[in-house]
Amino acid sequence: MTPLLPPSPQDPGLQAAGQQPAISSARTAVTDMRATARWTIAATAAVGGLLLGGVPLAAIGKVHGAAAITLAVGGLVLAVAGVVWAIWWTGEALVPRFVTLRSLQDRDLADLRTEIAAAPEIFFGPFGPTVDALDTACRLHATVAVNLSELLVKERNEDRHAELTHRLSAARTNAANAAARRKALLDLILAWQVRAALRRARVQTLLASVIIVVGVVMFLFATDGG
Amino acid sequence: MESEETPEFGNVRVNGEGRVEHYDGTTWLLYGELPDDGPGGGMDFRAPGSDDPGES
Repeated sequence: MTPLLPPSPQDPGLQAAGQQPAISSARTAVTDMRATARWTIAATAAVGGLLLGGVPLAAIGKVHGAAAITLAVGGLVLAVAGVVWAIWWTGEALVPRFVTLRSLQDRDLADLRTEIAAAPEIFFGPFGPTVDALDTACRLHATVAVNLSELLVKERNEDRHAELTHRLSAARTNAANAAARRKALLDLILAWQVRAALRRARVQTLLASVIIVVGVVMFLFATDGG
Repeated sequence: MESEETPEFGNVRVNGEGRVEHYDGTTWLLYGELPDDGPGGGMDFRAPGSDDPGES
């Protein structure tokens, strides 16, 4: 039997799919975090442009001698490297990610795993208590719905027909709810991954800022009267 | 001869009492709807100091 859920316009799960605040809020969180990353990249690029465009042009006439030129060039290279470093790491938060339930085992998601282990019913509802159990429940209820549909077509007994109709509705609801749980978990995993990337980027941007400052100071030391 | 066949995961049947049973991979169980308040009941993303989910 094919484990596919037949489409149904009256599917209660489809109706429920439009009202999942955790999904929408996780997606909103990802959007917000990626907006923060874009803002950080724009700010870094602006500062980098100012430092590397304005300062050297203003001071280039004050650099004399091989040692000073070497120091100035070294400072500029260091500052450019700092800007590129910050943009590179922050850009990681914007890179599209391939997310599966297996992604929950990523090292960055240890705290999410702890949260799930502490209260699995919040994340899996009646389809837990593990990711594997949730995945199995998705397949089980979808398969049951398909099989009930096939039985229903052949059934001529009125009582059995009513029972099968009732259980088919339950199977579709269960399948949709389990799928919604899995989707919510995938959205949560993505949000957690982006959050981890953004946190790493903050640390790396701080490090890059120090490198940029060192580079600028080197350049200024290379100029006359720097 | 349904009882002699090896059931597959997700198979369904109507028992002698007229109730639907399903095979979960190990045993036959009565089938029913599982109560679920949805994935929004208990987990949420909130910005610090925000009352609205996902607000930043």
